[in-house]
Amino acid sequence: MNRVLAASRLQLVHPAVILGVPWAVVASSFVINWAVWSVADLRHQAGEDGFTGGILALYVTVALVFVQAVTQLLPFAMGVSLSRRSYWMGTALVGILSSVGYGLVLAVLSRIESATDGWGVGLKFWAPVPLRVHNFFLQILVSGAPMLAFVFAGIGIGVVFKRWGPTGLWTLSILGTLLLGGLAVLITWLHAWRDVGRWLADQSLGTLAIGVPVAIAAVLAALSFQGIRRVVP
Amino acid sequence: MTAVATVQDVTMRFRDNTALDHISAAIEQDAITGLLGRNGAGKTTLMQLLTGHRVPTSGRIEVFGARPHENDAVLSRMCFVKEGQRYPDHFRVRDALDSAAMLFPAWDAGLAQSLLSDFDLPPKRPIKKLSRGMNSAVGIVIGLASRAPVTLFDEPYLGLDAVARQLFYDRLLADYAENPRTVVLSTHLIEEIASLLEHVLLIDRGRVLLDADAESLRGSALTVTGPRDKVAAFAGRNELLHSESLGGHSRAVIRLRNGAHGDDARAAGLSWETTNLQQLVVAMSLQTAQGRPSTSTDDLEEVTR
Repeated sequence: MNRVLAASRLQLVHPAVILGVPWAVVASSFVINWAVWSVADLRHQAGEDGFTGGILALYVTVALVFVQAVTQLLPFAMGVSLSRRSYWMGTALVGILSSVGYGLVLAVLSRIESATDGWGVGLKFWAPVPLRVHNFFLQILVSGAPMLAFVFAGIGIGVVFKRWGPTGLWTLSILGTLLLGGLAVLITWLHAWRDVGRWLADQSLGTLAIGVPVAIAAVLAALSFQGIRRVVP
Repeated sequence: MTAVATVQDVTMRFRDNTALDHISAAIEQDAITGLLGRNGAGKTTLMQLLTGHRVPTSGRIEVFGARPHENDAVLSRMCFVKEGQRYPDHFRVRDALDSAAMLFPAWDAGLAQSLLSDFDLPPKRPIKKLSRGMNSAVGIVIGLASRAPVTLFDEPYLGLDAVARQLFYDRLLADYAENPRTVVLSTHLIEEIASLLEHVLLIDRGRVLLDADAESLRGSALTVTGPRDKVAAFAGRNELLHSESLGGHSRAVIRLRNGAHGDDARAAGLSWETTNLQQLVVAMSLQTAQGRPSTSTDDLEEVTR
């Protein structure tokens, strides 16, 4: 257990990167969105339901941080005698805690957003409309659960890269494209788009924003845990 | 000898080559073992197996009586400093040392501090910006200050100048004297470390050529020179490792058998000198490279110059 915690602390050595970079990126995304909203007066152009997906920058950057946790930090961690398993658990622990943390901060920022009339320009940045809920605690989960999926996607991509190199990454992206594309072809062939749309609309926000991401995170966690055990630093 | 680590009939095969071919060896506890061999001999692979970084294709590896792979109880008592250790891009020298301090139970912060100044390492400089030699020095500081009961150095001196290397040997020896532990050191600079070694493990093409303590190796081989037929006769009574001839004159590296020594060479009408470790390693490695048995006198061959 000590070594798992040490692996967690390893992530936070020189925390400027793991914490600083995602916020720096999303802050610049926010400033740009705010400027666009303010200059182009998008509140009246797009209506009150207009929103931006700029927050996605935060999720993607956090995922990249966790890719590097495997590609860069793991070789060093093994150099200072951590087992892959302890390292994985320590990293997963940081991922879970930081997802909760990001959910909390995003929930707070989205409340401030509401209270300040969208930073004075009607901007809905920190929790875009489809992911905006009234209950503060629910907002933490709705904003945090997708982060968990991004965290484990990052770890998973890192493991693929570390084990199979660039070839592995290309294979992964080709397989992903084929799988999603094939699915789209299948649905089109079955004339089932309307059914799919109806099914999606029937699902609650809780299922889509919390249940599905947590399930994806769990699957990716299991796969990456298996995959990391034969990684050579 | 007490073995802290054992390798039993281990084979490590990669897609297109066999890095280790059914080798068995033991690493002696609280001794400095030199792991010697040519490039690609399998030294790094063996160290990766000992530290659980790789899993052997077949055979058994044990350190502290257990398999090291994914075994925190074993790994926490080991430190592996390897050539070209990667550090995260954003790590400064002190970040690497702070991390190591967190993970090695016997970490000696005072020693780390004094080594930092010995090697002139700037604690706040990103490791990425260090020169090749200074990068190696970071690994050396971690390896020594870890005070791990089993410490492996895989060619830790890359890019280090002669002064810094001497510093490394001196500090290693001094700290080893105060805190005996198992050290495995792989290197090509054999003569530089020959005096440090208590045990020698020579591997070549995935096989063990030599597994002996350094004391017994000293004086175990002679380099003799003299008339070709006399050299051949002396080689026939012992083990010829390597020879070269010019005209009627030969020079040969010979491993002594049956308690033979220099006087016997003199009695055979040859002049002789003891073969040092580096020459012995070169001769033995060349012998397998030429792939021939070498006890017969037919091995004496002409070398054109």
